Parts: sequence; C-alpha cells; structure tokens
Amino acid sequence: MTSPSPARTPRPAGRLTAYQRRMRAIGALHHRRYAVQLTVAGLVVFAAVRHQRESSSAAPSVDALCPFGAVESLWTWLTTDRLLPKIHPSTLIVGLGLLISVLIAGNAFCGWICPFGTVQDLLHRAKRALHLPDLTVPPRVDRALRYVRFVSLAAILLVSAGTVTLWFSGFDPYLTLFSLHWLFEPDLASMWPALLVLGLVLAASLLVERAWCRYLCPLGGLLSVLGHLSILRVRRSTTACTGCNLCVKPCPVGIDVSKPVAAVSTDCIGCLECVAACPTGGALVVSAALPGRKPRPGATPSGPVPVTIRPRRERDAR
Amino acid sequence: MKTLNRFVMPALALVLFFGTIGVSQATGSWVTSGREVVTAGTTLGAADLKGWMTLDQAAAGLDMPVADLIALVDAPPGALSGATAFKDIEAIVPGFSLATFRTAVQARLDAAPKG
Repeated sequence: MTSPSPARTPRPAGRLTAYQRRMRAIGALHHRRYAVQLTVAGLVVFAAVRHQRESSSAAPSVDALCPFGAVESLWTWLTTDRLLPKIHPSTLIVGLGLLISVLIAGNAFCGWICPFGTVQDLLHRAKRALHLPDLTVPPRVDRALRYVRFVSLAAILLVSAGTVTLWFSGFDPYLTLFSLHWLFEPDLASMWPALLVLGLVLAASLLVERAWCRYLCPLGGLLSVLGHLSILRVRRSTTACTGCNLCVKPCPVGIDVSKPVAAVSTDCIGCLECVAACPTGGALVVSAALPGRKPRPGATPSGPVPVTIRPRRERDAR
Repeated sequence: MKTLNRFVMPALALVLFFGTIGVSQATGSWVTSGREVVTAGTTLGAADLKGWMTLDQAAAGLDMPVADLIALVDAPPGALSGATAFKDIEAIVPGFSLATFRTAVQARLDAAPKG
C-alpha cells in the first residue's frame, strides 16, 4: 500500500504566481508604452495632415517638430556663424526640451516618444505576428555597426555646416514618412532617393528590431553620448542579479542588459522592457544618481546570491 | 542612489519634453515655420520670397503692385489673385518654380529706377 501523496496546498484566491506577476508587469508596460507612442505618432500625423490640407501658418510641417534640426542649426551656427535657411525656430525649442529630458530622464524619448521608433516597434510586432524569423547580428558586427550612428552624425553635421543647408532633410526617413508628401503630393521623380532610403531602413527594421535606432540614427548617437550625464538610468544590482538573462531578449536595441556592470549601456532607449521582464526584485531598477557617481554596492535591494554570468557568445550559442 | 518607480522615467521624459514646448508656446517663443507677418512696412528682397507667402504679402514686402507680380507668373487670365500663395501656384500654373520666379522678380527690381 502506497502512502497517499501529500495534498498540494491550494493557492489562495487572488494570489498570483511569480510568473503571473511578471507577465502582468510586462502587459501593463506594453499597454502604457504603446498608448503613449501611438498618441504621439497620431499627433505628428495629425499635424502633417493639417499642414498638407491647410495653408495657414498655424499648421507647421513635421520638420518643425524634429529635434535633429536643432542639432544641425546649432552646429552650423557655432562653426560658421551662419544660420541654416528654411529652419523652423521651433526645432530649437524641441531640441532644448529633448536635452532637458535626456539629462534628467535618460533616453526615454527614443523608447516612448519618437514616432519613427514607434513605426519600427509596429513593424517588429507585425513580424512576430507573422512568425517571421529574426536576423541575429553577430556580436562583433553589432558592436562595429553601432559606430555608424556617430559616423552618420559627424557626416551630416559637417556637410550641413559646409553647405549651410538642411541637406539631410531630403533623405531623413522620419521626415519622408511623416511629412506625408508621398501621400498628398506624390512625385516619384524627385522623391525616389528619400523613398529608397526609407524603404531600406524599414526593410532593415523588419529584419533587425529597431535597426535604425541601433545602427544609423544620428540623433540616437548624440543621445547615447549625452546619456552618460543622465540622472535617471536603468541600473543593475550586481548583488541581486541572478544572471538568468531574461532581461536580455526583450531589449529592442539588443543591449546585453545582464552584462556585469552597474548601469545599463547608454544605448538604452528607456523602454523598461528589461525591468518588467526581470523576475528578481531589485535586480534591475530605475534609479537616480548624479552623473559620475558610482553606485554603492548593494545600494539596491539585495536578492539571491549571484551566479556566474556567462559571456554573450556562450549564451547566444545555446 | 535612490530607487524609483520605473514609470517615473518615461513620465519625466514626457513632462519635460512636452512641458518645454508648452512653456515656449505660452510665452510666445514657439515659431513653427519661420513665417513673419508681412505688411506694407516690411522690406523684402526677391530671395526672401517663400512658398507660404501670398502674392499680396509679396507685393507689400517688395513694394510692387500685385498686378506686376501676377504678370511675371505667366498665368491664365483670372487664375491668380492676391490671396494665392506661391506654393499653390504650382498647381495652377504647370512649370511654375519659385526659384525661377525669384530670379524674374530680382531682374524686375534691378531694372526699376532707384529712388
């Protein structure tokens, strides 16, 4: 006669498992982030439609809402003492708002506000819905390609200052897509270079999640540098982290979040996917610290004893 | 180092970014298209003509009769009025280019007697 197996203690009603809590946290994050992203993108589309349909000055083109214009203007003004023609003064305000936002709240602009980031996120969701495969960029190639953002930033600023024109606006995929010229005033003969760039960028984003943000965005390159001065950042507690790597996969820009350093890379777009995915309380947190101040060990709540963190290539091979 | 609710990060980003735009709008610093009010007292050159300007505004800024400007466009009779913006002329007059028009206006200004 076998002894009866011990009866499983029923879970009290309303009490969630750790897995359920994690899934809820991820779901809540997605709802909020997509709501904000779609609202901002909707406002930009609304502005573009108004600009195309109305001739009053109250309806600016989407150029007026692009913070990169401020970067080009300031650089040209500082290096040549001249102002770019056709620049919207509002871009300086948008640029100032972005600078303040980045210095205090990190690069959350990219993950929550940038409409072109939203388009790339939508493409990724569509890809997942269609069960299309992900293209895995080898780590070495990935690291090298990330420098292209700085090359494109330098090239754009140098040519803008050299020619004193907003030459990049003719190729900028954000402007090409959101200006809606392709819809209201289609002119393939003059627009084909811009449409070609847009098509290539969207195709790349379909293959690699947020490819534009990872490898090409000149503004993202600048924000990545400024991110070192941010007060709020996603930080990792080296004592609480268990090295489970659940935070790595959801990162839209492919950061190795579980890397054994205290602060997540400044390539971080502040989307918080890694924080929501983390099953260990206090291992990945948003925290405030003055730039340059190293966080004290164990400043965040401690958790289980850390395990050895495997190198990225070893994890990729699994 | 202070640990915060994770949503503080995007909330602050949104408030600071849009707050800066809101403050600039409230203080009148938000200028979206570089457009200036063109009145009879405004002095414009041919190079200052913009697509958003109407023929009336251009005529006022250039101190020229609007009929002279319309004559430079080579439009069908009655097709244009003073309220027509340059950017809308392209749809009315095929082949119209603001750059070419600026050159024609400059030639006209150069030929006009000074004084």
